[in-house]
Amino acid sequence: MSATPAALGQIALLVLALAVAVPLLGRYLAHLYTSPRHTRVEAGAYRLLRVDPDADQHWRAYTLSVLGFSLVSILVLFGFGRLQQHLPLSIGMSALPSDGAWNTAVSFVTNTNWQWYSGEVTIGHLMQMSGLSVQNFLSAAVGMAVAAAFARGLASSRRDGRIGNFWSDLVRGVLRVLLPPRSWRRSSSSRSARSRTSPAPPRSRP
Amino acid sequence: MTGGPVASQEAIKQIGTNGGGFYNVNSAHPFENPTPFTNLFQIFLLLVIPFAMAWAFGLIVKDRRQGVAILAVMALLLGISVALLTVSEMAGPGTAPAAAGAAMEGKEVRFGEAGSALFAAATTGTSTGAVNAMHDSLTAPGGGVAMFNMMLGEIAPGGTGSGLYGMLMLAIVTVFLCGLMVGRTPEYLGKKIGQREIILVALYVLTTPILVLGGAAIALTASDGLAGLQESGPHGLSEAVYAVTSAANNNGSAFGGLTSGTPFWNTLLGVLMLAGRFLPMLFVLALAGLFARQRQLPPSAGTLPTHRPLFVALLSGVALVVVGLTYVPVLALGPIVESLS
Repeated sequence: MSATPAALGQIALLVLALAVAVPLLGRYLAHLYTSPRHTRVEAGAYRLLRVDPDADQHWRAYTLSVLGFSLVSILVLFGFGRLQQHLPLSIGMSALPSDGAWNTAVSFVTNTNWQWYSGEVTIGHLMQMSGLSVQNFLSAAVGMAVAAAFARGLASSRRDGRIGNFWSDLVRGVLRVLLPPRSWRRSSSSRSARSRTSPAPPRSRP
Repeated sequence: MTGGPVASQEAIKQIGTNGGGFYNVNSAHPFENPTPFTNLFQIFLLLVIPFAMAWAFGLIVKDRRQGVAILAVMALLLGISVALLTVSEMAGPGTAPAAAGAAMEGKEVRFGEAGSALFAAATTGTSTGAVNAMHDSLTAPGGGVAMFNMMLGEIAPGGTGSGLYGMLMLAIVTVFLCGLMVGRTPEYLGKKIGQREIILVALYVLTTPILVLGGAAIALTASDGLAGLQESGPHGLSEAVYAVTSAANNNGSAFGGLTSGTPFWNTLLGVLMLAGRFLPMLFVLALAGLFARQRQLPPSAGTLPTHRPLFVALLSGVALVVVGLTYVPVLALGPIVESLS
């Protein structure tokens, strides 16, 4: 039976590839989620978002950032689903029903991607590209951010309940991990490039 | 045949453990996944970040061995499910596979049983949910393994980030149980697991099972829920349980057979996905805050080392037992009955 060597062969190949990639990527991720340096593109993103990426957030502020960001994401996707027939590149697709738009919005924001519909006959190109694909990046980056925050909380001995900055975790996860590497090649140490208009960093209580 | 911006979604669908494809049949479609090589590459992509997060964890807590131990548990559990799924698909138990000569129903000839089984294990072990074969047509034990993988809470190796924090919650449960046995205050990486900490962990561990079993109960008692099922009996139960498990664990793969595009199912599954994502995140972040308020205790003679093979075995056991005790009844009525009949 020739199927067995093929089965074992592909598992061996997979294990080998992971054994090489995981320590390298792991070291990169550990650096990414603990380094104070921002790239120029990221500094621009923080100015656009009007956030201070260097504010060490208390866990409550971090959680509110996660929840607030995700709520806005759900509303945007829901809007996409309900209004796609009015948008360009809808290729003749009609609006999703409200229960379907709710399901899809939650599904892609929660990194679930349950699909009750057949993609190729329900979702227009614009929603695929700038709604669903965008959430594929963002929801994955949110998951990584929360895990990194937890690891930092365990490692911290400052006794202040602060676990890092959600916005910097989110932006770095998208730009330096999930997007192809061109977006972060030009690295610069711009701790000072913080936004002048940023809201007061949440320093609620120790 | 409809074309479109498939590529923009394909790579991120796998590496971000998302799973939502451009085409309905997902990675079984030749435009999404044309060859056995792309199949293997997609499996690599969906596993690499969750495993690397465990490695990164060790470096962030400044003890690489801690990350390696977590990674080892993930790899062990995934290895078991790959082995079980591959064996059951290649052996092809059941009347239909026996009559056809192999369990190829619902699978792509270009991937075969092994390529489909490996993909199924990887996509349910991570929270991806992309499919390259129809999980409804997996052999009964194979479908059971896929469901069990999700019920583990997406920890082997889980979603990007969510796999790591899910596994760490179970690591704290393990440390706590061992602390009870020897009568010392349990601690993990120099942080005490006191009353408030363990309450948060317990809430985390209970949330998903409550959502899954509660959601299944609602679906199976409502006429609108039952209307979506294609089969009756154990396989019908599996269709409904698979759907709520997939949603509450943020996996997103579908068993097939279930007609889920109805207001009832869309609403129910939406609620499960939302609660299954953000309630656990809330508990994780609150716990992170509690830990960040503690100082780091130096290890003492009574500290359970969490980087040794013993801990790897204990944590794997805790993961299997916690899930086993929670879900055995429903698994027995679904895939297990079906395997035996």
